[in-house]
Amino acid sequence: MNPDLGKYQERAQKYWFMDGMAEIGFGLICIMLATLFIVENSFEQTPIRDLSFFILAVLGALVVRWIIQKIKEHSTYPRTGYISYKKGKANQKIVLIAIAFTAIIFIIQLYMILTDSIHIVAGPLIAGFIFAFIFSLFAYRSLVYRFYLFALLTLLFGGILSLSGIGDLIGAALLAALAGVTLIASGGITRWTFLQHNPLPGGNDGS
Amino acid sequence: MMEANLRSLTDVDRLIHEPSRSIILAVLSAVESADFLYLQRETELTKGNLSVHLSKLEEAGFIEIEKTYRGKVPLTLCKMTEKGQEAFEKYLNQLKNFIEGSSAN
Repeated sequence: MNPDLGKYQERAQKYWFMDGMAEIGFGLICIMLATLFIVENSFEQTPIRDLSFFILAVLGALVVRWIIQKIKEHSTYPRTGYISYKKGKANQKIVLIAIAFTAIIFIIQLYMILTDSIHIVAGPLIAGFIFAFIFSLFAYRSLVYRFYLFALLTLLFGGILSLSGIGDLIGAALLAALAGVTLIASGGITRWTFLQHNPLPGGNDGS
Repeated sequence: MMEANLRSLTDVDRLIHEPSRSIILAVLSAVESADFLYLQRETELTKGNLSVHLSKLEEAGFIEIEKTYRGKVPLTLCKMTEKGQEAFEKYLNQLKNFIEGSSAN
């Protein structure tokens, strides 16, 4: 009888997350965001401040992604091999969901501005929604189900921080820092286990 | 009925039905491409055996093999072709039909 082929397909889908580097990378991005939120909080709100923050966040995320890719090339792929993923329908679906989600967040913020309810401390809750959404996408894409737990926790903490009235940016910073530390710890354990179980093989790919 | 069901199994593509080759195609159906090392770990074959299986799949037009380099390290990338995708889907459907037919009997 032939092997359970679904198991091999599932494992290939999970592969990007198997060495823990993706989690560590996203954790670093969260810590960077937390730092930026705190720095942003000490400046007066202007469009230039917000734009600078956005550009720094995007640049930081790109740099982290580049570093993660380099570490994978030097440490992960020589141990367990390389996979590249399809950029087809599955990704298009995820992009569409992400666009819809971003639109919903913008509509909520616009509604708050128009109804003059911007004074409500909703920053941590919105940040919680965004983190929960990103974690859910990770879980859906990678079939690594602990990301659903992270999604639930960030949503919960976002709600608690909003209710505590701690402040928009400080609350969002705290939430990002918590998410970052959790991800780095979880990714660190995954990474350590991965390295223990997958020593470097000798020679090249042998083909 | 039972005989027809068994016959449906004998119609499966023998090239794909070999366990190691079906694993290779299962992996490649889920990704854009995979390298030799990844496939070797999944199939648990020796380098020589894996090369033979990959060559057979390439000859049948089910996969494409690209030999390249990542830095100074040689890299063999395998990618499923459209023909391979169709053949593999057909194979999976045949297996599914056989299993459903068997449980109905």
